[in-house]
Amino acid sequence: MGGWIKKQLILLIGIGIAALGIYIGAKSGVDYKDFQIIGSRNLIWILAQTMLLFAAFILAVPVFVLIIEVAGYIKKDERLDKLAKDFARLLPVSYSITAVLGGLFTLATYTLFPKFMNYMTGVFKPTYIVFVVLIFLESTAVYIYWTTWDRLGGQKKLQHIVIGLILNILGTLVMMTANIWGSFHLSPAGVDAAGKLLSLKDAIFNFTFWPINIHRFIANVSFGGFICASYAAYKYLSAITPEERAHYDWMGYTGTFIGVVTMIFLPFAGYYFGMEIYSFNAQMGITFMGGALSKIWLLQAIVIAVIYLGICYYLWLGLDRIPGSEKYKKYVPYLSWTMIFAFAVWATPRAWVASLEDMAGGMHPIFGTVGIMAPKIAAVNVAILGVILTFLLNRRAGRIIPDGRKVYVYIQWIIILLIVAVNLVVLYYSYIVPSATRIKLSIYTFLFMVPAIALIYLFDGLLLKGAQRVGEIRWGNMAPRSQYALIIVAVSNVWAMALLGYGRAAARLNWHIYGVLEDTSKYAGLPSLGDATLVISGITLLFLTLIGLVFKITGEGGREGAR
Amino acid sequence: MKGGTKLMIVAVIVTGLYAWFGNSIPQSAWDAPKKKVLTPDMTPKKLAEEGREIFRKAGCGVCHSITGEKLRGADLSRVGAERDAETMAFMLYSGTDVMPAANKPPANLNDSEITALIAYLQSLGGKPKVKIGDIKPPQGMGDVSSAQKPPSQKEAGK
Repeated sequence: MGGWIKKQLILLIGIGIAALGIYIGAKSGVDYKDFQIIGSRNLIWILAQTMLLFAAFILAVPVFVLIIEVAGYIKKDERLDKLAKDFARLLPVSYSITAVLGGLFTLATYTLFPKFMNYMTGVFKPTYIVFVVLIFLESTAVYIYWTTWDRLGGQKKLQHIVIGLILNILGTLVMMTANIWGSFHLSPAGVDAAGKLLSLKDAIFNFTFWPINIHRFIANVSFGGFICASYAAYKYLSAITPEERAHYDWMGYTGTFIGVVTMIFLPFAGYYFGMEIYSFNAQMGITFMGGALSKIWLLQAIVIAVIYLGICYYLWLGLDRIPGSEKYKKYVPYLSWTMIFAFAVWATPRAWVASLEDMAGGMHPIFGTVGIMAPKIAAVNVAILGVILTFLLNRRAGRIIPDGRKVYVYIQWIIILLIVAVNLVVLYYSYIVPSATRIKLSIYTFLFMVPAIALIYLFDGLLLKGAQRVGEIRWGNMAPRSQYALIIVAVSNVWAMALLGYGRAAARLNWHIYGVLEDTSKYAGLPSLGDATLVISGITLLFLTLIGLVFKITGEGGREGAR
Repeated sequence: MKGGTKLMIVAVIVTGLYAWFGNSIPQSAWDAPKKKVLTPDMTPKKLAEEGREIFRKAGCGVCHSITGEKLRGADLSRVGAERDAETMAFMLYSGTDVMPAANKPPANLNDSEITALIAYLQSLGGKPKVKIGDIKPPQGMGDVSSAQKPPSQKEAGK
């Protein structure tokens, strides 16, 4: 009980700081205040993004902790349960940091941008109350979930799983409540031209509310997986015994697996989000994808390429710990070159000028053809296929395929070729249809790709059913550079989250609430991309320092678990 | 060197490389558009010059070419010879499925700026003729300035 009070106390401090901010904002009497040295916009940017990264982490970890716990319960595998507990260990401290960051962010925004934030209070006051109730319940659920892990084991495991489920539902509701405000800034609804509230329900369920929910949920789980994998890599590199190394090697692989499986769906959630932006305001979609913000996608392509290639590099090195994997290694160069080519297409800019506003006129023949969305979508799909094939190699390596099952391999090849063919056909049509139709085509491609990928894995399951292994996987026998690859993937993932967080906010240009409330502060407008990347790098390092603190605080307990 | 320090060095190198790349590509900051002072005594030619700047700043060139090339939107290289001022005004104020009205975000132009834009469009393949006050916005489509003055907290929630 004392521990619960202590945890709630930190949350109360966070809420107290936030309430103070709302009070200061209401009494302010001015539109804006500045913050010396770094400026009010940068301060809010840094606080908001760092808080969001922690919020993403505490939403994601319970999701896959529960999945691993359920898998351990079904398979009656103690190792899985211990792994889930090892991940869950990171939660309590992360919650406390998120609560304090949330309080500071609210205090800063209400103090520095009172006009904007007071307006938000006027429209969304009921949702603020719901939010506070939800985070209290969520924090309590985390506390119960963590402290009852051993007590509710064995016969009582199901009870513990139900607590985990409740925690996940509450976490998702907290995220959705916060998304109401963020999506309203981007695509306001339920208010008249003067900003007066007409319907709270419409304001909540605005154009981008569901796309942001879906996109954030998937991105958060993927992000959580990679952060946990980097935690495992950090522990692997400092492990003393072979048992510890084996445990953290396995943990790193599991975290990566979760990160990759969810990440595959991310581009499609992004297309859905993009489609809704185009539906809300086509010009905003064009600004976002091909106008003032188009260079963001160039940077994103580079970062995602590092993430995908980093993951594949880790998995290709992982073949070394699988006895009998030698014959599959010959495919690695083909896979790596295919992916490099795909990312080269993705990273081709449409124009190499400072601003598309300046280019009323010509387009480079190659940039103009390769640099648009159509070939990029096909390239992303090819890269996804590369990751899937890499995972297939890892599954198949070291297994003796029983006689008479070669037909499943042929079927898998047919499906892969079909995926490539469909992408080529869509690519052709994408050049001759308008942007809004093109983005819909990308969703249809997704609807084709998901069952096709599922079929590949289904036939892989049939192919490998009961297949013997040449030898046991030698967990803990990974080269240190593989662990550095995982760390680079995690750092890049944080950077990508911060970049796209900036992109989404920047799509509003000089509006606090697009078309409703204009930003008239001296910070209206957007910084150059170079300046933005400096802030994004700073945010990434700040987050990594804080999460490193979480790793440090929780580290010793984890070591005992590994032993 | 401790493990944590090594990892932080990796993080600094990776984020540093991204920031370096971000700074090495052509770029410019995007400034919030400033409202132009356009007066009735300005000649159509002078107005067209201002309109040209508005065309560029408002991002019209992202979709519309003025050189005959086909981009997303209609080619405007000869629009001055093909459309009269009233048709242009109607298009700009009402927008289309994919082009938002010019007096709404993100362009958010006022009536005078739209008149200057029309003068510039007239100059493409033709001669600028309009002056401030010549263009009347279609009914109910005039300046939307309320966005500058948001309702108070109490009013917003009512």
